[in-house]
Amino acid sequence: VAERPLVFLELVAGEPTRGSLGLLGRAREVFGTVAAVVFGPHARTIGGGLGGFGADTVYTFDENPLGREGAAMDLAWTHVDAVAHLVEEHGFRTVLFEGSSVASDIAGALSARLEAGVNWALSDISLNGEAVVGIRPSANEALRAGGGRVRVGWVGPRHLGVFETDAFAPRRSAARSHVIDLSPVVGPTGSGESRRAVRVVSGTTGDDPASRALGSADVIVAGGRGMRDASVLRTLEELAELLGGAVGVSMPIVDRGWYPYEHQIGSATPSVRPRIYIACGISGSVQHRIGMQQSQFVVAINIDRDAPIMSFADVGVLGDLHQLLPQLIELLRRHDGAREPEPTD
Amino acid sequence: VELALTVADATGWEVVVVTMAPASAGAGLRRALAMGADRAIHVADPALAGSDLLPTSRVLAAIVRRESPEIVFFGAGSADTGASLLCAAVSERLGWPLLSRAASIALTGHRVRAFRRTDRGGIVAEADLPVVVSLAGPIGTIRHPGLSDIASARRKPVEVMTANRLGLSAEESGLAGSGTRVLGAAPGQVRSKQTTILDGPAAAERLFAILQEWGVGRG
Repeated sequence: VAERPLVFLELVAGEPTRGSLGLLGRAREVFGTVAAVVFGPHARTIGGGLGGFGADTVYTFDENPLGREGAAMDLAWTHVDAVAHLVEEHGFRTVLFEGSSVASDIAGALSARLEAGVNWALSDISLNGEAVVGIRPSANEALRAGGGRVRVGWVGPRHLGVFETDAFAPRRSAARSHVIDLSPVVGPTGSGESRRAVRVVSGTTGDDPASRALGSADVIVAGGRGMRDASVLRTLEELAELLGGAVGVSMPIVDRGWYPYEHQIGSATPSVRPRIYIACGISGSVQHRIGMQQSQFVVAINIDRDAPIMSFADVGVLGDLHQLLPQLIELLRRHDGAREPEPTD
Repeated sequence: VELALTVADATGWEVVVVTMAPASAGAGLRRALAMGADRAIHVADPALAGSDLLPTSRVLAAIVRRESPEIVFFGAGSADTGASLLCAAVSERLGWPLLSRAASIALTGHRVRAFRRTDRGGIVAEADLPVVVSLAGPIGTIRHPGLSDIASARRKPVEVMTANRLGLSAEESGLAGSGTRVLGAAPGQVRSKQTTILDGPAAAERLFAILQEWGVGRG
């Protein structure tokens, strides 16, 4: 029997993430067939549309997000039960996740539950005969920058893989998906209280896709300690808007409370991989570099020629960002303005 | 360690620091003891060499069962180390709730409330003790031990632990107990970037021209 992997489809604000749809398409390409698992009140509706992204079978689970006290519940750990059920009762050997906070919680727990090896930070997957092989960019920065890759494998019958965030773009497929609702079999996930329960007191529970926008941005304009005050971020936003991009910041900016954490770029947050990365007043610490080193082109605007970022930028602009950015904005505006009158007919 | 010490300051609880690393890596433990931790457990065992997430989580869960703490803290680690998976694996083995990516925590009676920094934004969540907490990133201010703290840390107990004493068999340890393997590496090319330096009054215009070559802008 051919290997058929299962892809955990993560929803943010009720929509599948771009990266998990992309993973579905890539898995279909590699394995020839792929199933998905979706959780949530609209899982069946979403599942019906997943054939268009490569899934031939979609397993769905209703969610009961309220605990006995009526408190909202964090359901990640209950998803472990459901995915383990699919592995044990439906014969899946390989479960793939797009990297995220939720995916880490589930994949880590699933690894212990099933005693299955987990490879993470994967950029691709392939089949070598019967064997599943994961590709991970080299952890060594210099090697990684040159395309250095490590091939990783699994021991034992069950394989868990966590991919980099937004590793693949979604592909359209002509396949139709067969939706199987397992809620009646397993019961709604997250029902009732348990000693393992995690209650959500407040906060965004799926409505803040800011860092996802950062994850799929073509251009990122990022600010660091070289900005004289928080108002400079308005200038960065303006530039990002003109370039059709998003704003990122280094960790010290979040620590100062100048900008939300969702926009932080560094080693503790999912890596970004824009085509163009414009670092404004960022020295280029190792942590920051880990978060952005997969950018294709890097521009560094800095007053210090010896800042570390100058050694790995494609273009280093020596100067004061407070003067340079308004000039650049002005040039882009003039350019846009000059083009607008052109007839579009 | 800082977060654990803060909890201990308020509760009087004991703080035990644990590391699983070769025998040579005791400096981190000494530093934690100097900061105020009460004792340390150093899992140093050649039998654990090559351990991936599976044996590592077995070892840590075995230590937690032995020590029966109220809270298990995990440091943030970098995104590449799999630290975010490890805390989940340990919480699963223990059957304890997990508050992952905590930026701060507050303990009220039997409940821990955490501000979690997830990739979907901040979430305030709470769970009952005992609980596994992993940190979102470095904690702002860390206490710096004085000379007398460093001296007294040398008298604090560091217990050296092995997989065998924790009840792990050879099949559960090290490479033999792991679920993953590195198959090989393709080094790629070491690329040292040529940086084009722009300065002077025309820098913004030259940058604009380069960005255009790269095809940016709307439309």
